[in-house]
Amino acid sequence: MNRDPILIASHLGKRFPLSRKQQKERRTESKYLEAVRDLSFELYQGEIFALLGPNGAGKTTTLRMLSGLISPSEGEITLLGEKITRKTDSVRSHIGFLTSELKLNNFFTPDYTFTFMGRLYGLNDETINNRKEELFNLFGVKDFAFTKIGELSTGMKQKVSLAVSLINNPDLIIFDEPTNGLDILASKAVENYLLKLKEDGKAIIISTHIFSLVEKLADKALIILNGAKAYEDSMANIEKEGGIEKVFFSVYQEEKA
Amino acid sequence: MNFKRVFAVFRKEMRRFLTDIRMLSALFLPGIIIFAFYMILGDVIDNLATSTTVDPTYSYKIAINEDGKDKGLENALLGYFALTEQADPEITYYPDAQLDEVNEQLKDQSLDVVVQLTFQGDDNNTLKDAKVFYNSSKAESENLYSIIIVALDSYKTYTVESTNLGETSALQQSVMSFVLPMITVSLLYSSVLSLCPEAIAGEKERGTLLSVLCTPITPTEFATGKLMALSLLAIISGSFNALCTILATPQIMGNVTMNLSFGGYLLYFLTVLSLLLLFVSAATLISALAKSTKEATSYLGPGVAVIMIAAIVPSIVDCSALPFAFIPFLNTCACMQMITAASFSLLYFGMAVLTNLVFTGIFIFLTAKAFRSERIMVG
Ligand SMILES: Nc1ncnc2c1ncn2[C@@H]1O[C@H](COP(=O)(O)OP(=O)(O)OP(=O)(O)O)[C@@H](O)[C@H]1O
Ligand SMILES: [Mg+2]
Repeated sequence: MNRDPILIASHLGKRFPLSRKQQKERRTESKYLEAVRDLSFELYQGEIFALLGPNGAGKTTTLRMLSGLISPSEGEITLLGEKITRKTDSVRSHIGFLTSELKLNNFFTPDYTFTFMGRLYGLNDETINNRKEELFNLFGVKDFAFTKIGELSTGMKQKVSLAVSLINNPDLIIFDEPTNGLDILASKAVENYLLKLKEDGKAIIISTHIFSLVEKLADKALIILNGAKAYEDSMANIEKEGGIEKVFFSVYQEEKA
Repeated sequence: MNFKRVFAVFRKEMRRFLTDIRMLSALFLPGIIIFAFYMILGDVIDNLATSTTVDPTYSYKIAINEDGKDKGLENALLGYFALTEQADPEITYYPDAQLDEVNEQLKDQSLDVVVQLTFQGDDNNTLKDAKVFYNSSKAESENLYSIIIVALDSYKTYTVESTNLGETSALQQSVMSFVLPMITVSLLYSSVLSLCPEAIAGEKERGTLLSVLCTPITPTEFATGKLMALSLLAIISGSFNALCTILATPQIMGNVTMNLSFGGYLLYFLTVLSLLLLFVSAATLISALAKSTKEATSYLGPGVAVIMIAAIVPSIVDCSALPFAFIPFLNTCACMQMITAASFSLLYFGMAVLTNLVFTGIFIFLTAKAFRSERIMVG
């Protein structure tokens, strides 16, 4: 296996400019909100990386930068040796991104949505149909493949989103709270699939609030507080220190003090 | 630019709008309603016009040529009005040479009907032919005309030649050249209004835009695909609605056909087309800047009033001087008016269409810029 990191994030920072109104709402004088500060990490093939942090810590912002949806104000991201910016489309075809903010069009069926998104990745119809068969089976989308997405339950929609995010057989998989809204069966299916992807040598980043999920899946964990890295270590070491839950709270208390 | 991806967006958008009953009705119902409404209205107006009862105390003013004096027509008319308990008509006689002057009085409505009778035969008593002049812009004139036709019917041996001196067709033309652009323009705008906010701001609001922006498609490709689909949809629905209006408007103006040549229709269509592209690109830009469908609609909604007013301007202020051709939208309304009034200059027309296209280009450029902006698109 290639031991060069597949993803390098170096000194990432993201500042959101605040409008007058936002300044008032947030009761701040500052013209910017620093959502992420000086964040660096590396990710290798076949690795699952967990991003942990309280609400508003900057997890989603970090993942959005990694996906190329927004560009960092500082620092840079390299995927497979290529720099990720909002402008490069080539690098985005190696990424699969899933967050609850990404919605699918209620008006279409999962079947058509999958085909449409596949076309945006430049896949031909045969490849699209093969992937559809495989992923719809895996996540149990088959039963409602021809029901309009608007008529599906939250969990069913999440399953479709999962299938769609993996359409392009990505090398880097970024999942923001992937088991959100899923029942135990579907969560299990997602967990198993993530482990299979790991075996296939994909690099995976997940952000989650569920400690058990981190313990089951992750190889490394990073705790982010107020936009900055507060802790990073391998799960093996975390295990030695008494588990992720204990580590998380001690890091959190330390930061507060 | 990857055209496969552009085309994928285009196809998705067409599918979105053409398989949704709600969208379809928003796009095509205005034309159908206008058509049906005008048909019914046309009938009502027709009925009103023919059933107008004339005041029985009204005294009809008839001019008959001197040759026609004492040949029975007066008696027939006097008898008819007595029988129907209406006021006696005022009958005057004129020498044949003065026909033109008498007809002037008919035109300015101080006379209701002018009759010119020609006789032949030994006793000069056999009616050879009859000319009846009337003015359809006065209800009394039309009424009297039909009475006289019936009265003359008893002579049987002649041919009647009827002439309408009312200038209704010119009147209708000028009303048409005023009403038609206004309705066409507001219908076009309504098509665009039901398309763009939904397709652009709606995607943003519902978070479906983000899913698309995560794929390799570039913002410019996405904007191009959208604009293509929206323009085509707007063209289909806009032309349909405009056609309904063109076909239906003459109905309420009394069944006249529009005096437009094929070239006239073609020019009309081209102006409509350039205006449509202008509307689509402007509405797309505004929808891209708005955060939600509601916000976009609230920016674009008041435009209807502005547009209706601007559509009337060329019929009040003369906009036919060439510099006006460089004011987008107003130029098009002026063009439409000139075309329907059958007086247009090709130079003006060309400049107007060109101006619209240039502005469309500017809007498209700004739209692509907006789509590339992280702050506007990702929020
Ligand atoms: N577009 C934006 N404009 C201004 N501020 C923003 C924007 N997006 C995020 N923020 C702010 O950046 C900070 C980090 O937000 P982020 O969504 O990354 O948190 P998170 O760690 O994902 O939280 P959660 O666990 O609740 O999902 C928050 O204070 C948020 O209000
Ligand atoms: Mg988040």
